[in-house]
Amino acid sequence: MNSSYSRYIIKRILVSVLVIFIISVFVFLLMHLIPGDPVRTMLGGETDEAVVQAYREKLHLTEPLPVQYWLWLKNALRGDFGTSYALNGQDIGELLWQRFPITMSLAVPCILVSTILGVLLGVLSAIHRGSVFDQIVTVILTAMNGVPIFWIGIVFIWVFGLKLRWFPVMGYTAPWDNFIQYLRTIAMPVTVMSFGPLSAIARQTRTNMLEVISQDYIRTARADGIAESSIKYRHALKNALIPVVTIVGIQFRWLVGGSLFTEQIFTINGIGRTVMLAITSRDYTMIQACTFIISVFVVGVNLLLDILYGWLDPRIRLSSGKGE
Amino acid sequence: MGERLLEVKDLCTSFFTYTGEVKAVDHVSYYLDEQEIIAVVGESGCGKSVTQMSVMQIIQSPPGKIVGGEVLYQGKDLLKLSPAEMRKIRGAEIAMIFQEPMTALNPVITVGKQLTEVIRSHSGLSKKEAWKKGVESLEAVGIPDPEARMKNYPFEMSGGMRQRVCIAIAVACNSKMIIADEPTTALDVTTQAQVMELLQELVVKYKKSVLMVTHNLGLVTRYADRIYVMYAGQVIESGTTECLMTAPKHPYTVGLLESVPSLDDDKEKALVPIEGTPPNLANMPETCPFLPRCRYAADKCRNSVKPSLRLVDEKTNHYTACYLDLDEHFGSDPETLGQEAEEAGGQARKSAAGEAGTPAKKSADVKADEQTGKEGVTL
Repeated sequence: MNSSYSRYIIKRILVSVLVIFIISVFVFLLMHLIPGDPVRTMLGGETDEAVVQAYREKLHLTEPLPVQYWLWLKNALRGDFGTSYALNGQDIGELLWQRFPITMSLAVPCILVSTILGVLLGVLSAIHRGSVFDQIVTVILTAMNGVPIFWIGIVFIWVFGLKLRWFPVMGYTAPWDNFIQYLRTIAMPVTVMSFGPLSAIARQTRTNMLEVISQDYIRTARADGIAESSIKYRHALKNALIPVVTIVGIQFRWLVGGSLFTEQIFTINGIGRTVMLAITSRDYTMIQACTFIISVFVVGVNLLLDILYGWLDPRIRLSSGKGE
Repeated sequence: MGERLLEVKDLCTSFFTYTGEVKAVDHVSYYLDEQEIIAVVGESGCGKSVTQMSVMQIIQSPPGKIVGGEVLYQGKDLLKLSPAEMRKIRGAEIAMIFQEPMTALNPVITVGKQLTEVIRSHSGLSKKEAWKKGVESLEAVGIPDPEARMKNYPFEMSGGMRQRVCIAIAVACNSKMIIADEPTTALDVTTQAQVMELLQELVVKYKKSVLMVTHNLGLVTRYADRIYVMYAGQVIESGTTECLMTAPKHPYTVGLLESVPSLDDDKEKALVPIEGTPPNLANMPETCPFLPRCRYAADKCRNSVKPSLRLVDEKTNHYTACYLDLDEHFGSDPETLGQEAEEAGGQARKSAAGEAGTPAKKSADVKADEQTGKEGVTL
């Protein structure tokens, strides 16, 4: 690793920290921007004004805003997001610590499958452009991109769960508890969740590949007598994959948002269902915590992508820090 | 001049598009001898690059397809080779460098890796040996500090440097022939000269042959031994540089020369562009393709199928695809008549041409009719 690449990475990390700070401010203010009194919602119904006031003081809601923010941030960074009243005073930090990995154990295999299959399909249909294979793939990908996840999820449950009884229709087993059972439980949700990302990645790869193949340097490589396999899988693919990284990133972030649907449909207690529960029961502290965690995750993914970009594209890696 | 290295005979390449067959290269023939520099000139879209890409067989297919002809390299027809055999010719025997040095190299692979990959795909050298050879060839094309440059990415180099790298690739594999497709067009003037000097040095020092495709007539006159002028997918005139520059026979060549600015000319004197645009290659006329733009067009031209190349002068290898004999009319166009006639001191021409409104055409007609013995048709 050369110095300008490490400078590039350090710069990206600093920017990420700044972004997380800004997000934390917004997430904190969420409490104060949403109409309604959280204390009253917590206590429910008519309550003695003195009790409300006592609760306010207990929750530091009488302190000035910056102080409140500082207290909140200090706790949040330690993983202490307070307690949930929708789940009877359960510790939110602990809850997220359990549930976030569940969502990840769906999203990570999903993005891996989508990326590998998507790049493969994209490259093959670009190389065999206009062939029957290409046309069939295009039709299937367009269809996959078009179906809404809640509909295809229900179709899958009905066909593969209820009719064929291949996979369980609900529930979740952690991979460290029983790996085979884990694979069986995630098979359907992961397949359904992959539809969008797979289609997007494959189409992006195909487009990039076609564009790259018509570039001057590919013509040069041909004129230099380089073997066709090296031209396609080394010279072309390396260039074509750079924009695909962006799509993979976008899709990965989208998967976490999409978990709201899939986890609901397949009854999996991940972050998506937790957010759903928090919203429907107006559990502000939990909404706050979930929003913050998801935002940090998104920033983290972006950081990873930026680093990956630099690794793939020397123009980014080497020209940063030169004032370009 | 040595042995015949490359001989292209009646090469035809077409692009099959929705609008029909586009005959980009239409029965083109030319040859290149050892240690010779030849130039193929013509305006954009005349098929000069497609011809070279056909020789290399790197035409995008579909839609492009070589539909006929022979490409004899050292007597062997390249068009009959298998793709694998042809791959061994490309880069190793015939190297090609392109117009766009900024984009001709892969942006995400280092120069060294690109160079060694080409070397290794044409030789059994180890990575280390190939690297060494790569450094040597960078040195041979005049790149300072080649060892360090090997580790650079193309974007870290200037256009001239990149073009040198492209040439280094051509040198590295000891190819006998270099096709240079507008090698200097994208470079600034001082760099242009350096690249051309380098190419010429390769011819002298490494006994290579160079075919350059260009529209820069200045470069051509300085470096090329012979010239092929292409128009609408066909060679319309060829010969030694000297004879084509001083005594062109085809009106198109005349037009090309007239549209070149010269330092000696009066600043007030306007350049003479060739009016109009080339014909649509998908819908070629039966007649001479240059006819609609030709200042000298005669009835003979309008009423006959397109002229094929005919020998003008054996000594200068001069061929032209024109019915007329332009010697009589060169410079006698009505618009430029005054200046040119005076410059040439051509009093006789002036008086002969000055009578009628369109003297050039008239005399051309006479000439054409004389040749065929056909009765003159009024203008």
